[in-house]
Formats: sequence, structure tokens, C-alpha cells
Amino acid sequence: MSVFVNIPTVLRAYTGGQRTVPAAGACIAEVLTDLDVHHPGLRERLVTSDGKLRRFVNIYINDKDVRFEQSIDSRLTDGDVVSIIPAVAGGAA
Amino acid sequence: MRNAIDTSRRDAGQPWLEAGGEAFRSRLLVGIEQYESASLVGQVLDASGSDVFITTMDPSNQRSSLLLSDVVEELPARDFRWIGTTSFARSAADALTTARMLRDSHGINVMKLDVRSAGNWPDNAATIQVAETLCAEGMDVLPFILPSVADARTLESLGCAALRVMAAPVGSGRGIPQPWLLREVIDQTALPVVVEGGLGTARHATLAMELGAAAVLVNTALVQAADPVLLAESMKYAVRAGLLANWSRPMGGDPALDE
Repeated sequence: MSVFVNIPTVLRAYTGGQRTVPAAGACIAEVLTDLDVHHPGLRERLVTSDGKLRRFVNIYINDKDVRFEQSIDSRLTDGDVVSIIPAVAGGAA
Repeated sequence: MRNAIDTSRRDAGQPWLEAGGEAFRSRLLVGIEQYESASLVGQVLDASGSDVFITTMDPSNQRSSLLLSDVVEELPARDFRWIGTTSFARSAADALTTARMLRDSHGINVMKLDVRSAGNWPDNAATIQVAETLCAEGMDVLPFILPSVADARTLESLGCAALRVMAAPVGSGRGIPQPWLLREVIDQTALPVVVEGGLGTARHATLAMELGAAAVLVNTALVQAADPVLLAESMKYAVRAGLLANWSRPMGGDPALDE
């Protein structure tokens, strides 16, 4: 499957500043592995050493949070948009 | 000779806010945007004594902030009350989306609600609109507004948990140029009022508390100080000083407090 992945601003150093990158894989886990081939270091910011989604990192397939599906084993179809939207430090005043 | 009165215990056990099933005791809230080092965030929170931890998400994918997964590893070893914020939102729809994502994905039910205009001012009308929806959905909402008694009363009637009222433009460091506007809101609503926006140094935090604020929120002031940790500690004492001064019912004569 060929999908598009939205990269959060805080992790765009890994994609040379690109906001959206293409990736291939039948599920999220495969897409993350493919992403790491082209953008080394990105995967380990998103998953733990035992291959689970890191706490506070959310991945959405189109508008669905994969935590409420099959997490990183969630299946993909061609043209899906995968969005990585982590929880980040907040404030502003 | 009299013994000194131990003021440190005067308000022990008296939270200024109960929301999301938790008691909020720290009257200094520290925003943690704009930092480049998770370690520094941990040191600043430690020095500030704050027990509130603020997180957000950015569904529009345009803003940058430290990953929470990095920051939590640096948090001081004490209990924090987690609250969400919609401070990246520039429309009512964005704010609603962010608040619901924080609730659905992270179980956060206390929301520091910000809906800013393009000029980074609070948009009172849009904020009221979102607050109404979130309150109806059962969230404890802390909306950020420009000083307005009418809007404060509207938000109170919607069931908001507390109000956050702007002292001066966010990030300006100008302090409290029009203290009477804040005092009017503080005096004429029953909700706890957090003063934020433009507080740049300790004196500003003290004045906010002397005016009767329940708490203050700072972010840019600490980030931009040459020594953020030192100013965080200073703010902790400044807030305490202002609170005790307010409770003491001082003599009067200070135009900032009386006019």
C-alpha cells in the first residue's frame, strides 16, 4: 500500500523539513519501518524498543486513532493519510 | 516577645480550584511551550513549585513544541494535575477538535481553553461558543478572555470551572497596565480568576495576586529570562507574597489597588 504520512513540526528535522512524506506498508508498523529507511531515527521517536507505540504519541489513519483500532498493526488501504499527532508541551502566556 | 506567625500554613489544605476530580493548590501555573530542552522544563517546574502540567496537541500540524514523551521523563517527582490546552487554536472549530482529541486520546477532562484571533488576542465570542459546548460535554473548562464582566458572567453561567483573564498581550512582558479592569472582573464574578498574559517579572505576579487573583499563569516570561529557573523560583515567592498581602487587607492608598 502507498500512503501519505503527515509529520508533526517537532519531528520534521528527520524529514528534511517536509510536512508530508510518502511511505509504503500494509499496516502502520510496516509504514514506520519504511519511514525509517528513508528518514533514519524517526521510528524510534514513535515506538518503544519492544515495538509498541510510545506513550503520548498518537497516530491516526485518516481521522481514526489507531489506539482504538489495532494500534500499529492497524491495516492500511492505498491512498490513506496517516497523521502523527503527538501530545506536546503546552502553555502560552 | 511574640513568636513569628507561621504564614506558610495559613492556607494549607485549601485548594483554589477543584476540577476533574482533583484539587489544585499551586497558585502559580507554568506554561511549558517554547522550550528547546526537556531537562530545562523539568528544572523550571521544580523551581516554580507548580503542581499543574499542561499539554496540548496540534491537529493543524503547524506549531512546534517538545514531545510529551520526552518531557515526562524530566518531571520532578511529585504529583501533577494534568490539564489540556487549546492554545494553538486559531478558530472555534480548531479549539473544539483539540479539546476533544485531548479528552479522547489522553483522558484529559480539565481544559485550559484558548481561542485566539489572528492577532493572538483572546477571541471572547468564539471562546464562549466553544466553552458552552465543552461544558455541556462535561469538561471542566478554564477559558481565556479579555477583561469583560459581561463575558465573565456568561462563562460563569455556562458552568466554567474558572476564568483566565488577560493582563496584557501574551508574550509582551508589559505587566498589568490596567489593573482596574482585572479587579472589576475578579470582584464581580464568583469564579476563581487566573491572571495571565504579559506577566514578565515577579512584581507583576505579586500585583495580580494583590488584586485578588486566585492564581497566575506564566510561560514566555520564564522562557525568555536569562535564567528561567531563577525567575521560576522568584515567581513562586511573588505569588505567595501577593496572596498574603491580599488576605491581609492592606491600608490602601496604592492607586494600582484602589482606583
